Amino acid sequence: MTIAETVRTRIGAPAFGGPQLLGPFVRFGLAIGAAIAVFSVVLLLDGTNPLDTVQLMWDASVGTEFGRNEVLVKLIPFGLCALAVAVPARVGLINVGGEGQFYIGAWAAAGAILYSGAPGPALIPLALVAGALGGGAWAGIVALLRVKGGVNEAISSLLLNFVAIQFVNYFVYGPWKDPSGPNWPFSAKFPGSAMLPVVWGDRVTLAIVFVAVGLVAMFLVLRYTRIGYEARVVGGNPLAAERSGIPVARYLFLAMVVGGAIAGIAGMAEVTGIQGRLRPGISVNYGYIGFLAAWLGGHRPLGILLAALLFGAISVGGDSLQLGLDLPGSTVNILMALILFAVLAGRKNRTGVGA
Amino acid sequence: MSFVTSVSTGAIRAGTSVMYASLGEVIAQRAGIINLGVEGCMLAGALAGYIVTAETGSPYAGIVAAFVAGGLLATVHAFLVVTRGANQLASGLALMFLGLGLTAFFGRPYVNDQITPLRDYPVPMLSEIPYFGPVLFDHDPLTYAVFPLAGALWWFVFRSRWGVMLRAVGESTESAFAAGLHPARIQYAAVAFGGALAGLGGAQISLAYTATWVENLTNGRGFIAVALVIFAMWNPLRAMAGALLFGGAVALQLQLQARGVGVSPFLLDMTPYLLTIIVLLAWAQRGQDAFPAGLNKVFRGTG
Amino acid sequence: MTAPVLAAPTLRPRGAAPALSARGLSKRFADVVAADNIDLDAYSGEILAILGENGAGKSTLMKMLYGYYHPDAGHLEVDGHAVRFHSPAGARASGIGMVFQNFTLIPALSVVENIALVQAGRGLRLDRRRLGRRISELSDRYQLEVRPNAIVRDLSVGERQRAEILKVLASDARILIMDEPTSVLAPHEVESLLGILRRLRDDGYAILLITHKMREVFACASQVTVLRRGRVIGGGPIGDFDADSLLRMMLGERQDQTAAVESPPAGPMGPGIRLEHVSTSGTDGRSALRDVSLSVPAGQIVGVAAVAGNGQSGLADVLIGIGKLKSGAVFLGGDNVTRASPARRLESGLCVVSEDPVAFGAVGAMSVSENFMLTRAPVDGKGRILRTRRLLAAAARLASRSPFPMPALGRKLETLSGGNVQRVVIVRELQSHCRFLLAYYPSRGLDVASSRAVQQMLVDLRAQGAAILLVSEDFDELRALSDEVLVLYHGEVVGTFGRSAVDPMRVGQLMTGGRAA
Repeated sequence: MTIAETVRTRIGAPAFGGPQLLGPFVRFGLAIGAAIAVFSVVLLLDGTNPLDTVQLMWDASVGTEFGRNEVLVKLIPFGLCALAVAVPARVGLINVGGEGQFYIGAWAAAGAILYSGAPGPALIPLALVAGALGGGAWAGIVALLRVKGGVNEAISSLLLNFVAIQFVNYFVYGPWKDPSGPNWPFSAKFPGSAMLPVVWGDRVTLAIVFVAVGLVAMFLVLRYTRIGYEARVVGGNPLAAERSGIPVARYLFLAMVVGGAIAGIAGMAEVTGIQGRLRPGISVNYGYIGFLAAWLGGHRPLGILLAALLFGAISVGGDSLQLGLDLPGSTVNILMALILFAVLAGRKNRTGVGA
Repeated sequence: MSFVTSVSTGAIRAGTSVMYASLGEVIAQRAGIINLGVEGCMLAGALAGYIVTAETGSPYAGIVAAFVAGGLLATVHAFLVVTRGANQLASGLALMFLGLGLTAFFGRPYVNDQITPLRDYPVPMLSEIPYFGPVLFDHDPLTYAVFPLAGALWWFVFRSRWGVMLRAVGESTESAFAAGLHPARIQYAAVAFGGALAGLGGAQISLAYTATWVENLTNGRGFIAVALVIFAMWNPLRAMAGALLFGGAVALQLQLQARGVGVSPFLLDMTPYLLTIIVLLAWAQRGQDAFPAGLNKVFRGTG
Repeated sequence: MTAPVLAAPTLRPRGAAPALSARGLSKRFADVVAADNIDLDAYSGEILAILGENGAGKSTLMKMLYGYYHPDAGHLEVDGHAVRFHSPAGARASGIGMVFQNFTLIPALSVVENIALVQAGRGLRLDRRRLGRRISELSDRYQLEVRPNAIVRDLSVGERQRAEILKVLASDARILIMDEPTSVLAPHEVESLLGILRRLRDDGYAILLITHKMREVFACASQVTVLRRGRVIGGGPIGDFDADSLLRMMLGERQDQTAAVESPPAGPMGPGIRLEHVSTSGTDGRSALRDVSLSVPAGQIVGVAAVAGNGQSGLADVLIGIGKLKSGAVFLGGDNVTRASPARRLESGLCVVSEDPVAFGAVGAMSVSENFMLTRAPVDGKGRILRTRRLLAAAARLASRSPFPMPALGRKLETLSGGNVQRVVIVRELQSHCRFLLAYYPSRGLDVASSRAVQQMLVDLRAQGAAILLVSEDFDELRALSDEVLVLYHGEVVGTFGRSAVDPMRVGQLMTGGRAA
């Protein structure tokens, strides 16, 4: 690179990186097409008619108003969990711990609702704060381990997922088990005043607003604020950030905690919007699907929204397969994985030497 | 059976599947590729083994099928990360979902099916030794095979020429390439072999341990295997020990429950993960980069 | 220094085919021609020195010979037979071995294991005993002492290099490419390496020695080829040349450009940068600073002369405040900033053109204008909310004031060449608010006109009263600009020369560990 080179001055794209809209859309489209093609082959192998299947999934998700509303219901956990991955990703951290942060957020929200003794109208704000604090604190462990202890955050956050799940199990099988219910691992039912109001259709709760606020805030902060700029510098080159006076460790810590808090809010939204109580298995891999959605969306707000909607539609379609074709609901996991593979394989990535 | 014998036997029974998977993952990670989709490979092996056993009546044909299925699934991961340079964690998680979905889909006719399980073969004479006999010498063939396998893999990694090549690639593909190796081929082989062993681990569950098929049969054991690899610091013998510890915890829990001792099983279940984090922290404090250098890239977002 | 200065007699039998021969090798990267129609011949029993400045195309040439790059044009012959390499594996199979400048030994493996990697042969078994015998045979014959079972990361640099050479010899290479092998060595190690090279030559190895050091060439080479800007400028038997003629070929026009910038000496204008008894702990193999005291008054340029790896890298961290000092104090403009945060120091007017701008000074995924913002300079739109339009206007102003052409403001830095990244960083750092400047190799990677412009910027800043600490490899640049020159060796200041007292010979001796008078 020290070879004498000619200087090129060209009129380039506008500075401050305008959004490159078309590329991702085309890539999305091609990837989805390829994934559906492979998915159809898989279905054919088993003698299942792919046209029927895709038709059924379409009708159940985007084809009807009920379906579209259900997609919005899924957008809440998927979108929030993807944000929980994307925020730390922008400073260069890999958060695979959305699942655990979701559980702890749900646990903290449930605890606040059942055991704080707060009056009814205070319950929802209290649960929201508790959920964010819970998820944030859980991610804070990861952040501390990374910033103070030098432990890789991807691995520690992944490991803590399993700890979180068992932690919640401990409470719902033990101290928090509903004393009045049958001998099931449930907490007591939340009072009605603790349940998030439905704002759209029959099941779309107020939490959809959390998603919207989160996505818009992420966009605005990254694009228009100094904090966002500095965060992007930290993510782009931490050594350069440190050498230009940016407090790198503080950004790493904060981004991880904010990510955890968002996942915690997702957990809170699940128990106060859908479940109405704390119980085991409240997350159906939401944290992991969020991780995949964040990657699919390139850690950008618009991309995340599209990816979460897509995964939401696939997931709702999956539920219909169970009823309509007697296929297991997780059949659609194949389609989700294939879409991600197609996108990952299609991206221009650094290839290894000699590959 | 005494308490100690029951727990020890249980440790081996419950630990074998995880041991296969973590041995395989040791090989893959030694080549610088982390595969979070071990869970998917285990499921693929479990189902493929189950189907072939159900259709042919021979659990040994099932074992071969499990090996192949796990390896094939892992090859998808190798293609994405080695050839296409995709992010290893994202690709691995997607692989888990793929395995979960594929096995749920193709496995539905086999739920509640009956197969000829891989049966236990007590070693004559030896299995009658008090205490040790039943613990060590009354198992299925897959369980017998895993202990010599761990030893062989240790020798392979640290003593053989190919092992040097494997570790070289895992440390630096650039240096390995400069030394005239073909890093991509070695990484493909390592990842596929790792997946194949995970497949065997799955088969040990579906053909011997439970001898049934249900959706999501492995229930998170793949992730335990990944954790154990780090806990074991990429050493096959330590991975073996770690898997036995895990199996021991499972068996201890069952025995304690059976005896009505009040230790929360959930708190016990956390221990493998917490222990692994503590090990990582201890290594980081000693200022040592515990990872094979090639893996570091993955976690700095450049892999 | 008892090395024979005479070239070895040529042992080449008449009419023998060269061991390695290249004809018309060319290679382009994007729009840069890195190698242009290069011919060369290397014979067994001879050392062919390949001379050239940084960036003359030596590395590209070597990488083509070793199968790393495919040449765009031209062909290779080994022992008179045409060969084509698709990878280093192919080159090695033809008997070509390469000793890299940044070694390719794998730190986590032992020496034996590293050597086993390149052993021809198949099979699973690693015969440590046979390999150990082979290693001790070779190391006895060529006095390449290493501990075979030591882990490479625990070895000294000299040992690593010997292990690297052993590795190549053990793979039965007959053609050895040595990429600036002495650049990492201490002076006494250089002597023993040259001895090793001569013994290898006498045993019939063909050696290609890449270097830019004249002394090595005359100490062992039989033939020489000089590269400049990707082309072969000249060459032949070493006896046909003397040091001056080679230097002229190597440097070309640049010979006459030194000291082109008018640099009227200025008087000191108050306190600037001062270090008092600063000691650091070295990291990542970098040499630590040991009890360094220095003072750069405002309005002065102090040059730092040092061979790579003698502690100059640590100066940036000390001034910016990254990591902890073992002892000592740092002053900027008379204020003790030893405990001040990097942000505070930078806000007080500290600017740094870092040693490696791509690694430490820029963000590849961001545009030029966004990289312009990466400064604590008092520019427009410094608030919490970014005023995009004002920032863009500020960036455009900055670019328009640049004395050399800037890339488009919207270009991402990762798409730029190293030289252009250097330009972006220089334009950002050398602004008028700069009161304390640490500049590493500011003209590295730049063409003649640009480096002259950079030198002018430094002189202008000095005239405005900035205190400038200038680290450079280019001795002429140091001498032309500096009011004082310090010599760093193994992290210590071993010599200080006033503007008029700079004696190149003395500085050179001190840089390489000669005694101070």
